[in-house]
Amino acid sequence: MKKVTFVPLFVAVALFLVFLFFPNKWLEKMISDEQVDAAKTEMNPLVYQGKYMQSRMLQQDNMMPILGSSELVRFDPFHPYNYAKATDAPYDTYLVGRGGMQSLVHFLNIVEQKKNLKDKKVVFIVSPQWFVKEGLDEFHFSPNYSMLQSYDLAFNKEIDSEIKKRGMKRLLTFDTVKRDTVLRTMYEYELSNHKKYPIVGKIAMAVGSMTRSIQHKKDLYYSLFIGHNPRNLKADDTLVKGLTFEQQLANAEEFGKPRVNNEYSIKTSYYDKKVKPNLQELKGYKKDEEYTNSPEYADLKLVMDAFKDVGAKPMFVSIPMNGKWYDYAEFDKERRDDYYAKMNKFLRESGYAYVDMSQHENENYMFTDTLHIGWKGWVYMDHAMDDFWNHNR
Amino acid sequence: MIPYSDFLFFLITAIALLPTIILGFLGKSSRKYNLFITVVMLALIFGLDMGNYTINWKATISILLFTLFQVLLIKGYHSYRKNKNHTAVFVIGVLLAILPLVLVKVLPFFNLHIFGFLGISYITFRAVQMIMETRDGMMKKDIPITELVYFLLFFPTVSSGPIDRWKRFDRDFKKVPTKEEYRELVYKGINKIFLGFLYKFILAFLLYNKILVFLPDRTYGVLDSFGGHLAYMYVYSLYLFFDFAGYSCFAIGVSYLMGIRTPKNFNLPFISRNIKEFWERWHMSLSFWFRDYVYMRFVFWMMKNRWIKNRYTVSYIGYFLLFLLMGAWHGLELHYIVYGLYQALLIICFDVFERWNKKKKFWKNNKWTHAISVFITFNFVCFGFYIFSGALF
Repeated sequence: MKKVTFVPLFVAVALFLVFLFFPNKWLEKMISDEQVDAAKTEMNPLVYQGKYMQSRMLQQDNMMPILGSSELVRFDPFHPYNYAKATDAPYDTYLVGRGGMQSLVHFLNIVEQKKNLKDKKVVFIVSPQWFVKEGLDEFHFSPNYSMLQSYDLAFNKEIDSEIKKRGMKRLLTFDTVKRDTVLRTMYEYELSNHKKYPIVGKIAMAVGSMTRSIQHKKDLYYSLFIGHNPRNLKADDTLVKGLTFEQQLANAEEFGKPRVNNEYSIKTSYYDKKVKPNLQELKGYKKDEEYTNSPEYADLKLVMDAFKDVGAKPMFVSIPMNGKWYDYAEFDKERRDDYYAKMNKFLRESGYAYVDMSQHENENYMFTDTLHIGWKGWVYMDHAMDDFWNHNR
Repeated sequence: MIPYSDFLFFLITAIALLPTIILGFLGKSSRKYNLFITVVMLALIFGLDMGNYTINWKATISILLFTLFQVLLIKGYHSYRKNKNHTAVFVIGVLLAILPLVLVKVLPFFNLHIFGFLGISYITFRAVQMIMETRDGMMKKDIPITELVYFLLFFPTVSSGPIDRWKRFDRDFKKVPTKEEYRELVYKGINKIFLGFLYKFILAFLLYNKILVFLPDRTYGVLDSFGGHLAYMYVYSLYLFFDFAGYSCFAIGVSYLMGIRTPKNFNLPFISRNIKEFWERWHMSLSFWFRDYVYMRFVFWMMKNRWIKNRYTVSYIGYFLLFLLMGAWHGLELHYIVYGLYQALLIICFDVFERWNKKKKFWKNNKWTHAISVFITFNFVCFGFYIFSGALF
């Protein structure tokens, strides 16, 4: 018979307890400023879905984060982060965004950073492609969903109760949230003003509170591993530093020209690989789409209200569609203008600063592919950010 | 509440089993206590609707009536068999035992969802086994009702097996393990449970959430259509194994803690050299059940009546019967039926090859042919699961 010993079991339990009760303060000390700095552009979802790293970045007085989606990862010399560094801008920035990070995902992050965002300026990039008929779907939501932030929402007593409930109600439409029994119960308990499940609700809050502390611990452990893989930012200061707006635009055009081999202003590498082989099928592939009717509008409203509640000063940047490509995709000008008009009105009525880039939709080198801005698109945004920082204090 | 699906279930099980473990370490019988916690756990598994924390009357009444029906049937046939042994009565008995399961599978096609609950098929397998063994004259002794119900509804294995055998179960049930024996049971049980955590909550979880959700056709252009489906085939197969084998580990581990040595369900299936060996290593308790109670019965019956003379023909018809039934048991959808046919074809082709090879000695036995055999079997098996997944049609 094999020797039966339970020593490894007890060692495992002991080790687990050490990990669990390791003081947060000690962990925080182990995360260096260099790591925090690198995390600003690491495009690491652990940063977006966590809390600690962003709270460290927001300690900087001149911090102006950019919240957006997949365009942010397209680095070139005109990218806002490179631009701010090259021109010694008075502000610093960090990037939050990848594919599928739409309004609702940002909402959770904004209310999570409530205290740190007070009086901070924030740039929020709105993409037209978010506003499809179905809005944010499960497939895009679930990889970007933060368990930590959604548990914290249930315990967040500082944000306005109406906003909190609206957020919970929307989150409960996703399977990822519904599947989590504890989270779902906490939300339903809160939404019913503690009338539904009076006992089970309290138990869920107790269990949720423990889960939440473990999530915070996990966030710190993960943060130890963030910021060790700085990205190639493809910076080139000479293209922007000490130059006028017109010169920078001209440089962006010069920069884009050799990189494009088609009439749609799409980067050659992307065009040859993804577009050209399917050119026939792609003709008219967006002919039934429209962006004026979408649950995303309500989600964006949620973001706007959250910004107000936390006392941040956001500027919304409305990205246009790639006009030439959208013509080919038969998403016609009329429908595009409908969206621009609706979005413009939506942003204007919010009372926040905003930039409407729709007049640039047909410009060459504004986009680097079928939907993401870059090159000249970034130059427009860089100056909007400068203006926002300088004049709108 | 679905067994082994979340932390809460493990927590409740651990608390419930604490007295069992203490009694076991003292060398005392925990039989009465185990009967008691089985009732409690069954009430949680079947009776509690986690959607809104109310009593699930439909499932509760279904399982009570179903169990009553099966117990009456088994006891009735058992007392009948003491004096008489008509084949017709036996056939009616078996048909009655599987009738509820057949109804559950067929009625939804007529849009009738009258009854049904998790694990109905596994309880049916145990009940049919009782009737068959009684027919064979293996059940000379009386069957105590409490033990019979405990066997049918033993909570660690009630929802998805492994399918235990009465004789084996009865032996463990009657015997109180000594202190030393129980120490070993706990040791093995805990090992199993932790292996289950690794399989189900780490490997299967990662395979599903990090890879499978993007397959077969959501790869953002990383893989083409063929590559996507190919990757899906392999990853799905691995996922299926780790998920189900992990589940089985939990069921076995918890059984061990309760003094019942539930047989294992998986024995490194992907190292099988041929498809026959595969079915001796994959979902073993189910394939052995089908082997003993479908295939063997059919073959004996055919041979006895001499309806078909050629024993290979009989055997091949038996395989078709076995795998068609197994396929249909998964569900009456086309892909399950095709999956059954595919497995039957594989096993018959292999049998023909094996007999041919015995004479010709074409495929020699050395470590190279061994490796190649494993590789070929693995690919055929994965293709089978690809059919099974329903991604093909």
